[in-house]
Amino acid sequence: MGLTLTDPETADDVARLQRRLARESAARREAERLLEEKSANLFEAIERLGEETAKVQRLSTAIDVSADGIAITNADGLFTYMNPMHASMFSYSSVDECIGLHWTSLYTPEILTIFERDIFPVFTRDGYWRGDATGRAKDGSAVHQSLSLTALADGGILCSTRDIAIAKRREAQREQLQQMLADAERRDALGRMASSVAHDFANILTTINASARLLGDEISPHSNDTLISRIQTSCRQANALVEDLMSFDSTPVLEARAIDELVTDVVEMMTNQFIGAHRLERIESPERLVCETDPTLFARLVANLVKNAWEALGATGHVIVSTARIIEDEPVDLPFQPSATVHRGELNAYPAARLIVRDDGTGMPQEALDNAFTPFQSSKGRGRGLGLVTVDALLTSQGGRMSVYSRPGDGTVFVLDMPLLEAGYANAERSFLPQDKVHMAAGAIIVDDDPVQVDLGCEAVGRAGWNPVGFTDPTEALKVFRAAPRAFGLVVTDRRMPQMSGDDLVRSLKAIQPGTRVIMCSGALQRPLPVGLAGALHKPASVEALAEMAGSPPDAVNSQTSTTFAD
Amino acid sequence: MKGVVFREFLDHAEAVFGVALVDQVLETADLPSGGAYTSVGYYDHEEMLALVGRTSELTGKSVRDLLVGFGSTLFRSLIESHAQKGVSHPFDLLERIHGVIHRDVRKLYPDAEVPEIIVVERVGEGRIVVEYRSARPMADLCEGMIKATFAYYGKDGDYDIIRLDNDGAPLREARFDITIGADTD
Repeated sequence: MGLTLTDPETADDVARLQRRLARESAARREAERLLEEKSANLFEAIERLGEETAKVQRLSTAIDVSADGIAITNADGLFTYMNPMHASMFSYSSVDECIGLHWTSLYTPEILTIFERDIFPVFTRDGYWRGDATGRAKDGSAVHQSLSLTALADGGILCSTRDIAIAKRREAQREQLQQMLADAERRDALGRMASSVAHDFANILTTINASARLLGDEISPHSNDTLISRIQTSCRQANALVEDLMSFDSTPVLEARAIDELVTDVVEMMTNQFIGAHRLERIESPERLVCETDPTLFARLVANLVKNAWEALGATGHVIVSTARIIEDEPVDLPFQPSATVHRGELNAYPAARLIVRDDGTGMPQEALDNAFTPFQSSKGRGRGLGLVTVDALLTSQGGRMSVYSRPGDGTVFVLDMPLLEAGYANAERSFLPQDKVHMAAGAIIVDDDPVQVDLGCEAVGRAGWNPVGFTDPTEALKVFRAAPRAFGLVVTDRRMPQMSGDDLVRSLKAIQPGTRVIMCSGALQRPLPVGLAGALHKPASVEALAEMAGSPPDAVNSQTSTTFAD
Repeated sequence: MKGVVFREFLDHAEAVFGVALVDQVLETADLPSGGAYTSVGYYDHEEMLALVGRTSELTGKSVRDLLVGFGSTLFRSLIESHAQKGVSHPFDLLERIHGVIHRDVRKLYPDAEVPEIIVVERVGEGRIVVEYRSARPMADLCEGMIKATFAYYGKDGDYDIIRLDNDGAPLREARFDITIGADTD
């Protein structure tokens, strides 16, 4: 039967087919769109996968070469991964040897008992455990390790371990290196100290040598007594240096001292070095300049400045050492226009003492001046360059400053300013109490760590009319004195005592009662002695000598006057 | 719901009820997709319910009968294209659905929302209890596919199936208690 479009049934079939074709076409287009979308997604997924793969490979490489041992077990406890370090820690030659081993094979039964008892309960509860555990290597040796266990989602365990023995060895090596470094620093410090001592001794020996040579020189302008005195002074300086070394301490020990007197002593001591066309001149201040300073360091500083100035002189030359009191930041009168300057420290208090050491020698350029304050940097090509280094420690401790001005060919001027102590020390006329009106009681304190010496001292001052009380502990004596300072007009003290030095005791006594008479009786009376001593006696001192030095106590009337005055 | 299920349904309906009826269903069911289904696409399961419902209206057959019947056709189509080697007993196939077959489906179609068809009890080759859970009310379709499974493995007429729907989620949660070799009279 033929088909005609006019046949209603055929027309319906055609229409139905057309609709179906339209649906299929639409479905196909949708399918193509979805396929394109899937294709694009697939491409992106492949790219991401590539990146992730590279990332995983990098991480895998990092884990493989990690300094920590890393291993993974499956839920049955068998190793499925282990990096070379982990295998090496347990003395396995390759990772392949370990894959498939049960983790318990790396521990002794005793340690496994600890795992069961202590570690696994925590691990099961928290999902991780950190701590130290000793493993057993393939060769049976112990593996001291810091262990980290983490539970994995599949029931396995991620194990990260670090060989503590290596860390301990490294720590020991580090400590050894630090010890070596400390030893080197100590040797270096020892070398510096030896150089410093040699430097100072050289100064002293130079004076002794020059004086000794002049002793035999008939045309010497100095008398033999003067020269011998200089030698003795230098010897005392050497003794003081030895004492300093025996109780070596880099921290300056400050005490109230008249620095103008110290300067005069040092200049006097060094005069011998200036012979021929070299002259050393001392210009003294009209008043005492009492500062709180370390006398030893200060004397050494002045000696070094004078010595440096002398060494800077040419065939002829002149060094002037002057001291003065300044009440404000006064400018320095320089003999030349300086081309190099250095300033160290700060001065915040006035009045101040000013020390100037001036020479008309070769002078220094800026670079040499800068190096002058650096340890072991000598611009002169000899010596150890220590002379000026001590200045910093001294200035820091007592709040002073140093300025140096120089000009090559014209000379150098060192200016050291230090704050003066306030009334009572800076000026004897301005003490706390009018000294001519103070009359102490007849009480006397005898202090010596040797009880025999205490008894002798008490007997001596007792003979002189004093009413003595003895102490073997200076701190106890100070307590008594502090409680009733007006009751004691005399103190006799040893210098070297274990609880407190005689110098410290004198400073404390003077701070409480400046007018108290203090006699130091000691076998170690090397200078500098504390400020304000009424006298000093070498041990062993006779009873008669001490009684004579103690003198008579004030009479009863004066004592009453004193008491009345104090009231 | 995967587009292949829609296409299988239309093929099944066309084979059973003819091209004209299917055309009428598609033209009158008010389908968002317009009835243009592609196997690789996803479509709302409401369209399937609309198709089955409209077919039921036009043919007078119940929705349950339509879905059970379609389940039989769908199973045959799927088993032919995805043969399960080594499986010779319907219980074994039912056990593979959750752990193997649906896992493979997810590998191919990560977005697919397959129902849970889980064997909760099995007594040798004599009894098995299967639970069905789905966000879509297709328990009847599941029943049809289970029955087709038994037919496929030569157990047609040799089993007894007791279906119990969850009253709180009718057609979405059902329990099938199946016994083989029992008295089926």
